[in-house]
Amino acid sequence: MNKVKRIRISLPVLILGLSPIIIAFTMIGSILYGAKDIGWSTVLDAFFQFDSGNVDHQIVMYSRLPRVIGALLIGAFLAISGAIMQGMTRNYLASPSIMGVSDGSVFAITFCMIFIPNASPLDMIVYSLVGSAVAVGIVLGFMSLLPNGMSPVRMAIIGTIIGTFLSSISAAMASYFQVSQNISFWYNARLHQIDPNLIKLAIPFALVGIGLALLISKSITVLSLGHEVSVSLGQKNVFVKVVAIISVVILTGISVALAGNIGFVGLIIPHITRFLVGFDYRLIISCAGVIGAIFLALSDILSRFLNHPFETPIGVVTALIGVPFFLYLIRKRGGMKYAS
Amino acid sequence: MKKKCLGIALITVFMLLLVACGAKKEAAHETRTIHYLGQEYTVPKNSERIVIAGSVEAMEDALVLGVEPIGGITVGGKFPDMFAEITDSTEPIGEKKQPNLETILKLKPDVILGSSKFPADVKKKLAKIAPTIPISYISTDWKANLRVLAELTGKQDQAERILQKYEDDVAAAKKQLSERLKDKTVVTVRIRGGNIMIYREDVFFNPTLYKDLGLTVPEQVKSAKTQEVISLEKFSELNPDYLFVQFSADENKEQPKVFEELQKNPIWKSINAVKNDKVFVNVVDPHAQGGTAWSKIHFLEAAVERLSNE
Amino acid sequence: MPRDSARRYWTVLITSFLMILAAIYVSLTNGAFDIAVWDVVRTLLRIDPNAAHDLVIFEFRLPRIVIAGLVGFGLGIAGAVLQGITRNGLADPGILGINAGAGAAIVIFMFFFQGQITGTSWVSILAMPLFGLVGGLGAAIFIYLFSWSNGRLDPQRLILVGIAIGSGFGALSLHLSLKMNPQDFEMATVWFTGSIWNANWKYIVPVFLWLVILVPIVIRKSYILDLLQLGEDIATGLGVSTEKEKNVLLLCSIGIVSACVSVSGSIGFVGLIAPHISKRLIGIHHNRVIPVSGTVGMFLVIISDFIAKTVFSPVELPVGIVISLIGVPYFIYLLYKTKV
Repeated sequence: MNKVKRIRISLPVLILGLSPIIIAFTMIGSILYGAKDIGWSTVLDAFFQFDSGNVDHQIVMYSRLPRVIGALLIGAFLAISGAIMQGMTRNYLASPSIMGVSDGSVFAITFCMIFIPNASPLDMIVYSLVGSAVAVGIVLGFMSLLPNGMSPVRMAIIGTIIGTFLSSISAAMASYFQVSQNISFWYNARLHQIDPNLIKLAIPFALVGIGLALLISKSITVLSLGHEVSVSLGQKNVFVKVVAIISVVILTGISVALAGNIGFVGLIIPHITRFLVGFDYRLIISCAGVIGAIFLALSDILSRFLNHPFETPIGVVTALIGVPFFLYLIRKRGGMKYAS
Repeated sequence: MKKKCLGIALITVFMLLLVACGAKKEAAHETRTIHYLGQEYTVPKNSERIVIAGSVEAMEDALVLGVEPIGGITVGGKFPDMFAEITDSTEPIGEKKQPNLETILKLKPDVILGSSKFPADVKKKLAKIAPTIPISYISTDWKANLRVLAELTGKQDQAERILQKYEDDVAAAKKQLSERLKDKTVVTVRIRGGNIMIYREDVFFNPTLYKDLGLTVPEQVKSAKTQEVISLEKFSELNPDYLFVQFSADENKEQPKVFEELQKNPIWKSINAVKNDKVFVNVVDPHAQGGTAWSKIHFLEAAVERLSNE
Repeated sequence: MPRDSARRYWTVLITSFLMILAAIYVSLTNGAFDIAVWDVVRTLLRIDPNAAHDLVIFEFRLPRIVIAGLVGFGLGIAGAVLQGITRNGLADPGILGINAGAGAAIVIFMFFFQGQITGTSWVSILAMPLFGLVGGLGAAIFIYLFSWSNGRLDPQRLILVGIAIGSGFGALSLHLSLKMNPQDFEMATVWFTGSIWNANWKYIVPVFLWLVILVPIVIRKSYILDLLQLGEDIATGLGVSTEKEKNVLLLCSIGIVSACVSVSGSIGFVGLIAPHISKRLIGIHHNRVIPVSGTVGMFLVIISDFIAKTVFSPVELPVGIVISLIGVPYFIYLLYKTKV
């Protein structure tokens, strides 16, 4: 017991302190190793003496760099929004998708693939964002209309069933018009298509989303202790929940639109983080962000080599690493009570 | 609890009833035997009423031979345009993967052309409606597929002429192209959801290119298992000299924007085929399956035309 | 009438039985092949049978109705038990990873063996359900292995392990399915979304046997779920050997789910929503909730399958989708009416 306690105090500091170094190494690794062999010197040249005629330089700047930045950002986004959702709903099964974010996006993309087949990739991203926003709007609408809709249990149930409803319609349309596998590709093999311009577009949103998340992280800790506690501490619960939801929608919406549906990160990284750092959501949210970022970037490197020379869907890789580790944590520390 | 027992009893009675009386079929009047891929099938002597269920390959064969099935497969609720010639009076019987059995029964077919991919129980049910021939989806069986339909409809001569012509065309094209394309890389890809998909040498249109025309098989094509996603980065290393791009059927419109977007990408621009303007988009209908007489004939024609142009 | 009175229970149960009978009647007498009602009756009673009518009634329509009923019944009950054991309203049979395990097994089967097992013997017809069953039970063994510790089965841990196993198997199926031919993939999606299109009598016998054995056990033990809702410590204090009883219930529901999933694919949502609906209708006593969940599930699946095959005839919709299209609005209506 003693040992466990010591680890718990020092781990968050360790994670946050080491993160810049690990992230730097991940980035270097990700830029150096890819499907094609590109040497050190070429990579350096690409950064300092960029020659637009040189394919290797183009690959470094146009494909590998945006890819690793994208992976880091999206990993962080998903893990942070997952942590917020689980804290807010006090439900282990809550992931960002519970607010209908991904289902809304899938709905919009399916619709778009069938009826507006001429949409450009950028259009698709906009549709995905609109779909997410509309779906969250519907979920929130029901939550405020239905009696007691903002209680954690009802929130989770309403979100889940409306999400299921939307994704059912999309699945029906997709299977009727035989686009299921294309949609599956859209959602599962997108990280390697990330474009530098998209990253630039995503950054302002990211700052707002992460800022909001950190701002309310303390209130989330209080929320996670239960309704009575939070009310007795004088917290404005509804306000906190609305801010939390906005931040989740921004972060998840962007991730889904940019990189497809990497659901696993949002669900499991917060659990892993909670196992490691304990109950305080200020620590959970920031550590989850860091762990999620590194985790997804490393998975992305692996995805290039698992089925070399072809790409492996990133969701497969995240599951491949995440599942055993998660099971290990459950076995090792499962006896310990932790935030619920 | 009592109610449940009652329900269970009811179901049991039903089942006993069923065991007692399996459906019996009356024998057809005059029959003949058809051989297909090492199996024998007994079909009525006059097999004019053909239903195609589950095998788009058979639909393409029907198109080549000009056979009008009485029931056929729809995609998204309607017949694709490429089958317009033969589907004037055809009744839709559902999508490829889940044909509607009652609709087929209603049509009273003489023969059903099913798919070898149907689960065993579905084949069995179809066989109770009418003699069912499971058409193979494997592209090396394309000749057998064409011949079995020809035999059913008495168009054997036409089928043999078509097959012979294909052989002749291949031989001619090989002579014309083999010297010129000896150390060139020719690749067929499909773009799906923005990804570049690459196929194994005996899948999709690849047999026509590599086996029939004898072009060199690139390393990456050899190592693919059926269908693989290839990153643009790796694709630039493969660096094809001639590139055939097929969009999947649902994305096909005159100028897909996904493709325009790709053309702005500097890595894509570095590929030889792109630089030399040797990228050919949708040379055959994107609904085409690839491994059938119709697909092969049309792809061969289109490919030879594109490849022989300087 | 109070929600948990005995009279209300019987009213609801009998009403649902009548609705099931009506649903059976409708689906038996309607379809693409026209048969007059009188002919249906004559066929059933074996008066002057006619080959075509026999085929339609006994081979096409009845097996679907029976399988739909059995699967709906089983999933409804299993869902109620799982929600009771985990004390989590979001738990459904899918959450345990059983669907995902069965799904992965089926995809493996399609990817490696399909096309090689030909013929129409018993073995080849039952090959697919058998694979599904093995996959589902395999997932269950994994789940047990990891969530069992020190002779205890912790519900929270059960959910976490379920998520992990589910995403692991999900990733495996995704990986294989994206490598499939588009045509094979379409076949696999039929299975993923759940379909009883290829129902036949050979499937019915095993499922029926599983249900006949397991459902009575579940109903007999259902009072334990009521005690568990008070918390495990209290339940133990009341002299219930919590661990043993929980295991019996869990094993029974795993068996039921595996059997259902193996013949029908993963028909989602029934297991989630049927228990919620029945709790809204007749209160929280599990000895009542469980039978009503079963009948509600039965009705939902039978009527949804009828709609699925009729609306766009001759094109079929996946039945799981229709279930959620009917289930969600009704459930939201219930949420709106009851203020708990």
